[in-house]
Amino acid sequence: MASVTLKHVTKTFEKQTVLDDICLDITEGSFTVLVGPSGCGKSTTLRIIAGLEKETDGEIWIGGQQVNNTAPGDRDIAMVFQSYALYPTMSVYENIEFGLKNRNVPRAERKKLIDEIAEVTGLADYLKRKPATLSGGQRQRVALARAMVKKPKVFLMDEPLSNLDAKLRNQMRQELIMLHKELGTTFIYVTHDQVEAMSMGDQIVLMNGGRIQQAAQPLVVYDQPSNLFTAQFMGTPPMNMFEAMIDASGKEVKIGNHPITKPLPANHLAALHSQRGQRIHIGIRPEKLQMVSHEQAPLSLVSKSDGFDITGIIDTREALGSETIYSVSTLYGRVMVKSYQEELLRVGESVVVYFPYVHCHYFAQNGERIARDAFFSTRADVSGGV
Amino acid sequence: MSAVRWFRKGAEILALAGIALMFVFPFLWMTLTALKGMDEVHVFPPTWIPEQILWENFAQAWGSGPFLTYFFNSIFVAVAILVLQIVTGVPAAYAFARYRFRGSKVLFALTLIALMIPPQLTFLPVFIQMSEWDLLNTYLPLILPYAASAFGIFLLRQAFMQVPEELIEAARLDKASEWQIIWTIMLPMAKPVLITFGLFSFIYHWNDYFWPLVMTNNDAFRTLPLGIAMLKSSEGSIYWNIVMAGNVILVLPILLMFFMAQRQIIRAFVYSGVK
Ligand SMILES: Nc1ncnc2c1ncn2[C@@H]1O[C@H](COP(=O)(O)OP(=O)(O)O)[C@@H](O)[C@H]1O
Ligand SMILES: [Mg+2]
Repeated sequence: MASVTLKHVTKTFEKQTVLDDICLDITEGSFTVLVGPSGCGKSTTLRIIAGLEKETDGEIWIGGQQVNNTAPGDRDIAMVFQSYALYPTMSVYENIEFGLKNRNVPRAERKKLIDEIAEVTGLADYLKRKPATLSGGQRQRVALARAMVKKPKVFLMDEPLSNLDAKLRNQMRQELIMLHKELGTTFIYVTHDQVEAMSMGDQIVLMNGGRIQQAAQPLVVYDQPSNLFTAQFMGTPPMNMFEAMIDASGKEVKIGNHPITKPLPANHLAALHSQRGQRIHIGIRPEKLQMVSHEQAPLSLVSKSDGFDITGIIDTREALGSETIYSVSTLYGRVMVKSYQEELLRVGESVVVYFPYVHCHYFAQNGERIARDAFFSTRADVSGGV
Repeated sequence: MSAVRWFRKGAEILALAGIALMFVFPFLWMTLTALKGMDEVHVFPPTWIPEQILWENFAQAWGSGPFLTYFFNSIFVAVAILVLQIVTGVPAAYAFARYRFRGSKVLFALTLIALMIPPQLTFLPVFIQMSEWDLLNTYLPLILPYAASAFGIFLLRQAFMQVPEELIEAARLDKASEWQIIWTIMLPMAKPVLITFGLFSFIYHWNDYFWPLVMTNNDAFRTLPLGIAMLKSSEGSIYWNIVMAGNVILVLPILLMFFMAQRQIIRAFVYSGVK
């Protein structure tokens, strides 16, 4: 077990800056997920921690020791690669054994350790087989076993599940979470899949363009996205985002050219005071919007809720069973709505979409979140975070 | 199966048999001739099966010179060359495939150029150099000039480049040294290529006539091809049956090698795209 700290780490490949001043504190024993779009520098970050890539600048600390000049094999870490990187000419047993051998673990002890790990990972019957004769899931387990048997201080995993089919991926996700609980070792896990990040991590580090956008617990990232990018990266469909204008008095808000139907509450206006006379972005997640058919709107309870509304017409509908995703065209532009209602609305139906204030996020022109007090969260365990 | 398919299949088999015959015929003729008596070699029309099988032709060929020495020299030289070529070629190929260093492109281009220079161009300076070092009456002029093989470096480099980078990184994380990575990970993966190259090199040097001819003037260091050529150049008429017996002795080890490693060889050739 060990913490991992990056201090002002920068990496350039032939003048292209891939990592720009990364500062990161990964707590001992945490399950930290690095997530972000492809090419944002996640793998490079992981590889710098592993020592497979040399940082251009900055410090890397593992367990209170600076390791900038420590060879990968001496950093007391283990890595699981996306391709698994099993040695194809060695048997499963030899694959797991290789790292132990190189660490001069005596033969009898090696055997004991490997038998233990094989039992845990369900590989006991496959030890004599070559990797090429195993299924994707089994190879994945060999890669895990090879990492685990070294009892490293830190586990690094680079998209380890992306080569598995959806069902197996879900199962392995659960197993990795369990494994982390049992071992208590620091896990650093790279993925481009935000669902994986939300479901597995106890810490999320969201990256884009070689910079850290936000590092926090999953629900904090979801509820209090630090900027436009973070807001729109997490969640499917992504957060609806509208360009808005605050008038010089700071009282009236227009989305496009249309004043919102009910003025924002006083505490929101106070938070937006510094933005008066300027453009901002108003964001709201599709699942936080409420929508009723136009005829029912006056009767509906939601109309009494504290928020503004807009009428529109349903363009498309994706009924996924447990939930339904509507695309609605309104005067504000296209609005995505995710609904868990049993009764479905029809395509072409005229609807009213409600925007509850508590779920509105505000972002300044430069993309940064505009903090406001009395942040709403339905989740007791995260309210008050940040 | 339809008639058309039967016909196609038949035509295919016939064509393959024809090609096989083209390759097998010279060997067959050589072997049959090696077993005939001298008067039967010249009869017209030629006979297929020897009237009487003269095994003693082999003994005569073998006994007409220090053939045991030739045989040993051939094996020793071809094996020594192969071992040296692997010892020098593997690290060179690994460096070309995996390291980025100043001048690597130029060095590799030079290697490729070396591939295109025939020994007939280089033998004179090499000979003079060997003579200056006073090495002429040793094995070294036969072995040293071939201690590094451009072809081997090229083939192995291709094979090493196909090994995914992540595999090497996994080995580094497993605390393996560069040497271990080369010998326990890369080389076993390059086995098909290694076999292809090994066969190529061994056969080339086993059969080589020109270089040993130039570099030796002493029976103690001559190789089999020279010995067999000398069967032909003994005074008087050429005893073709004896010459052919010598040739059978020459190709027998290689044929045996092919029979023993048939499966490996096919795999190697398919793998390296030579097929
Ligand atoms: N060895 C390399 N040489 C040059 N550019 C590289 C190299 N490795 C990565 N990059 C570049 O660095 C950026 C980040 O890559 P990477 O860390 O692999 O992204 P991610 O894992 O987030 O998809 C990409 O633009 C990629 O093209
Ligand atoms: Mg990556």
